[in-house]
Amino acid sequence: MLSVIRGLNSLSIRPLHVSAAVNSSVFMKKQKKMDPEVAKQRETRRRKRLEKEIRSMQKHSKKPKPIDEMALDVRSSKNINERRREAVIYTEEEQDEYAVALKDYTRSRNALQRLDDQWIRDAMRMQSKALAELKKIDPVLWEKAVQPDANLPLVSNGPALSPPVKGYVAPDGDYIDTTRSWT
Amino acid sequence: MLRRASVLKEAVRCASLREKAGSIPASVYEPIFHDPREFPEHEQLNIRLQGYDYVPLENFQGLVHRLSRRFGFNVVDSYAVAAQTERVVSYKPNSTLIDQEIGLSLYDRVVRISNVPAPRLQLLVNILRAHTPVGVKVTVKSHEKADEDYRYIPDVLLKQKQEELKMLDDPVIRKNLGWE
Repeated sequence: MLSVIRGLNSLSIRPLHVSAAVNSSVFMKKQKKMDPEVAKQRETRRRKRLEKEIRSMQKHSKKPKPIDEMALDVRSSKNINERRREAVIYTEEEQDEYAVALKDYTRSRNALQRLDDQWIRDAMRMQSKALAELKKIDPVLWEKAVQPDANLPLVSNGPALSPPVKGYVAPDGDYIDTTRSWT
Repeated sequence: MLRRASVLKEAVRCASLREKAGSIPASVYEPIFHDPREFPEHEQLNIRLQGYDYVPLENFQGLVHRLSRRFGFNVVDSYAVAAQTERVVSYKPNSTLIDQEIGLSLYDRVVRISNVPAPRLQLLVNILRAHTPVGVKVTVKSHEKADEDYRYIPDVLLKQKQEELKMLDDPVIRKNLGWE
């Protein structure tokens, strides 16, 4: 009985070995202390090298994204001569007719442009006048009226080609974005 | 006698040449800069035109440029940006089999104007709205660096180098390199 107790005792006081605590990660190599002078030198050297590389890269880096609709279509440009039409020869009356039509068209566009110009001039003049009057009445309100627009961006859509079709059932489909990405 | 005394008194009062010269206007030393600006101004604005139809869009870009000049704004730049392309597909009924498909590209033009007096912007927007062709979307926003960057292909290598340079300021990385 006694021996059994002694055996238990010896079991309970068996020394427990624990290794010394490690302050840093096991996987990282311990860094040697570096001379601060050397460290500084290395830092400046590395910085200079990087800056130089960046500068030389910046010289050649600005490449605009290709604009497909403005690029030359190589396949069509190869056989462009096959698709040239012969010049149409007009009679003298036809030529006159076209010349008159062109002049009419130009005149009408010119008149519209003049109207636009007139509108712009009038609008600017009237706005200036109104603001000047406002300034006389109340400079605080003028200050508010003249401040840059806070609700930018302004978005507006042009008119649609046709009014909405009544009872139109949209077909089942998808829009898949195929814009070229540069990453 | 009395007159002489008064002259003497005057001479004593204006002892230095500088004082005798009287007050000199500041413009002698520095030119006067007149500020012709009547109203506060938007520095730079981008007018972005987007549309699926190429020809009206190009013509409208020209018109926007012309109208901005008519208002007396300074047109800094007027350029094209790469289009956004899309593939539009329609499916056969009750399936995902493609019935029809078409490629669409949303063309993109930008007119950049500067020195826009704030109250005049609304006039420009009004006249642009009146002239917008079918299916063109007009966005007026103030210019940012991102808009400029969007025109160009991003340079990955350059960005990497810049990141690396920035990393050298990070205390953790400095410690690992043994610099601190």
